[in-house]
Amino acid sequence: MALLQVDHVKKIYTTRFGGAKVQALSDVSFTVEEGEFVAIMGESGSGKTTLLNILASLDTPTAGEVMLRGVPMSSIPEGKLAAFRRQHLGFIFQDFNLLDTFSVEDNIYLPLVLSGHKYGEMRALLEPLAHKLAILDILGKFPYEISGGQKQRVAAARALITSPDIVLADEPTGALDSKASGALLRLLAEVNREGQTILLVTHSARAASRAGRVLFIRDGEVFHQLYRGDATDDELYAKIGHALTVSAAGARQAV
Amino acid sequence: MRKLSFYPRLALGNLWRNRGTYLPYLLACIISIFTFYTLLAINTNGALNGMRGEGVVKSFTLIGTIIMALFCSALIFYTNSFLVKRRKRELGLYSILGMEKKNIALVMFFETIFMAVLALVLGLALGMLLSKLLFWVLLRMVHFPVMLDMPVSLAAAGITCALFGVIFLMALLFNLRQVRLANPIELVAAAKQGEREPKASWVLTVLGLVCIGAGYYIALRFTSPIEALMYFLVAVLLVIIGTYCLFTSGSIALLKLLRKNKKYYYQPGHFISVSGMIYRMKQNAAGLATICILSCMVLVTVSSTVALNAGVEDSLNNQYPYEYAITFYEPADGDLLLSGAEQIAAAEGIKLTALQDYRNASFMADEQDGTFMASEDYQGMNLMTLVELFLLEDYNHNEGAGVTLAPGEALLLVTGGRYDGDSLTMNGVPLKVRHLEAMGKANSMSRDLGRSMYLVLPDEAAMNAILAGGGVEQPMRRNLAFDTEGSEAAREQFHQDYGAFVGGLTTQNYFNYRSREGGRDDWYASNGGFLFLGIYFGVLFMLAAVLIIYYKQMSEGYDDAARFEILQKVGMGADEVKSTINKQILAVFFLPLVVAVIHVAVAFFPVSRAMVIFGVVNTQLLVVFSLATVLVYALVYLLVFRRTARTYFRIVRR
Repeated sequence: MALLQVDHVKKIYTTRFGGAKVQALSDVSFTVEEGEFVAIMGESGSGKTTLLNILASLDTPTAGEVMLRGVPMSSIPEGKLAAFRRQHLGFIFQDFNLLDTFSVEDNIYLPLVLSGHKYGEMRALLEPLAHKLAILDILGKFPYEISGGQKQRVAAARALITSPDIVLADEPTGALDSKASGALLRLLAEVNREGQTILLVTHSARAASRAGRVLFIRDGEVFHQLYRGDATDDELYAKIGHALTVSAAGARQAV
Repeated sequence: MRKLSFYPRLALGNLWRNRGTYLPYLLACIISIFTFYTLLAINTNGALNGMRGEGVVKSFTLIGTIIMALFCSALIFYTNSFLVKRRKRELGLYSILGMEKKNIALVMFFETIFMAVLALVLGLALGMLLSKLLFWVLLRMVHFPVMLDMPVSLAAAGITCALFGVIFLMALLFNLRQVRLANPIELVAAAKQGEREPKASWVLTVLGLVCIGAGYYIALRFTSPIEALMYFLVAVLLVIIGTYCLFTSGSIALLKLLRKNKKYYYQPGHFISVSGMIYRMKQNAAGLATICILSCMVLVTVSSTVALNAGVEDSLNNQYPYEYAITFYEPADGDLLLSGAEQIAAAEGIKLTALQDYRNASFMADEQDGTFMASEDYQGMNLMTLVELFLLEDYNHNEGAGVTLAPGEALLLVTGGRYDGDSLTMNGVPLKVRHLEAMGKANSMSRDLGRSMYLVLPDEAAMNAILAGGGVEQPMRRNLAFDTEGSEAAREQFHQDYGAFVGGLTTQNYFNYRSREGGRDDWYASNGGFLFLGIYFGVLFMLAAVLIIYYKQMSEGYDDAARFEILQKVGMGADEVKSTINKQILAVFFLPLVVAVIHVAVAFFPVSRAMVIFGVVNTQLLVVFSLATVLVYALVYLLVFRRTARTYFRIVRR
């Protein structure tokens, strides 16, 4: 059984005054297996963010179904959704979404505290993770005192500390310089090698080239997919570039 | 021309676009101006001159005015700096788009001018109209005549404009400095910069504790009413300063201690609320302290006013132990007055009861270890003892007793103080005294501004010896006192008829006629204005407190919205968000109430002593009304809190 199964998901937004309807996702289906590192690529307006919001259970599809370990998300009652998110999903956002009111350490503990963990347990979970992410020495600082790269590693720690079924990363390198981006991507690849399933949404070919599989989304549909096979990052990068060129040409033909 | 009008238009547009944050700011300014103006207008109100309690009202309003000036400066200044921080991004954008700093300064100048004019016009209009309206409504609600008006005070308006003009100018200078110091890139980034976590300053905490301690000490230490009133004002100032220090620093220190306690801190509810409160405490402290002090003012004014009103009967019973009392010097007048009363009473069908007929003399005396000496130096009146001399014959007659006294012996009743010895020297005359528990209604007849001693002497010779020994030249006073019993209407009629009879007496001798009924009219004539202002201030402070609470909820809602959005993304359910917010607001909002109640509990002692000046000596009454006021206020507070909490939820869930 696939870890995550997306089945004919469709999303239509109705504008505020009820007039025009916007189709953000027309028909999206794919699966993610345990331990995979999947990248979803698409340009602005392709429906990436809508898809991610639906996967994150922050939004509900108009039609179709998303299943995590065979459990349809639509079967989870509204009141339990937050707990479900907390226990099964980890999030890394483009703008970090760290809280200035908490120290770095407390920001990472946030989902655990909400689930009612004891301080001792949390500390035990944090130590190895902080070591791996190289944030041990900034644990006592506040988000406004650290750099963007550090912030994103802290956000990653917050996503990973609950050992979620799947980590959803939304343009995690979007606000970082190339050095910090590279470091973060290496990190994601490393935790993936250790068995963590990751779904990465991005429009950067460089970021996507770290994944094991790349899905291309355009106009609310998955139109292409690339497997790494035994290609290196650079070879995959080249393939992605080629696919994007073809896609752009296809788009031009369609016009 | 067109170039000139560009900046004002841009400024207006800016205010309008930022109305979400500027509206609460404008509201805060208007409340400040409204309250400040009203207090000042009453302080300078000419109608107050000569009113009973004028001094108290003036000191009270002056203190209030000073406090308000400080509050307003702090509130407006802080709110402004917070607003500018939020707008730095926008200002930086102007700079990047090619506006020079001096142009930005011009825009900011116009913004400030518009805000100031709008706030002053609305605040003063509100102050003038609403206070007049409030006055008018209250005047119709009270059941006694009030010789007060609430005229529009141009002087007060002028001072208000000057003060707030300066405050707005300072705010503008602060803003200009911010813009001048920063380069565009920094400005654009500034809005994203987090606010530093506030530091708990131990110096401030200790200073706060010391101020409050000193204030409490002064309030409790000075026990005589006349002194109490003076020192009370000092105590009030100290407590206010202390409250501010404690709220800014003590609360942060306390919260940080809570955070250090890992077992307590790492629980879902505490985790988010404690960290949120620490983060916000700096902004909060001034607002919370203001709410706390305003709450104190509401509680003290309302409870004492209500007790004063309810205590009128009590107070009249004190000042007029008997319904009717006449002092005269010629025995023949006494017969005339008494027979007149008996005739009228018979005609109206009522009975005269508790008839008292006695001679007495009195003087003020200083005491030194049981040795009393008459003194005419009334400077420290409250430290002196009022000595009243009576004769045994009258005592036995009025009380129906058969006491005998040897020469050199006396009966003694002490009220409003103590004298425990069994002998004393009065104006050089040594006396052995037997203590009395009561004498007529004299035990309730206490003077209350100090100690009274009632001495019953064996004969006139003994009385004359004491008067001569103190150099007191005073003819023997004769007194007639009685109550009436009968129907309400008949007693009312008796009061009118007997008053007319006494007024129509054609004796050449001096006599003094007093009735409790007449005293009641006098009391309202002289204290009504004070009572009325008490009610007025209670309502005014309540209004200000409610508005500030509303302002806080609104501004914090905008502040917290982003935070709760993140929390929801990270996996916090809507219910959890709601309960966390509840916990947080509840703690933050009930902190001032709790502190206010503690302050009021301490203030109870000096207030109860000050009440004595108005003749209210029933402490129990004040306790009951204070408790009732606290309860009612807590209820109102809760209602306001729930109402405004809904506004907060709406903003946060946006």
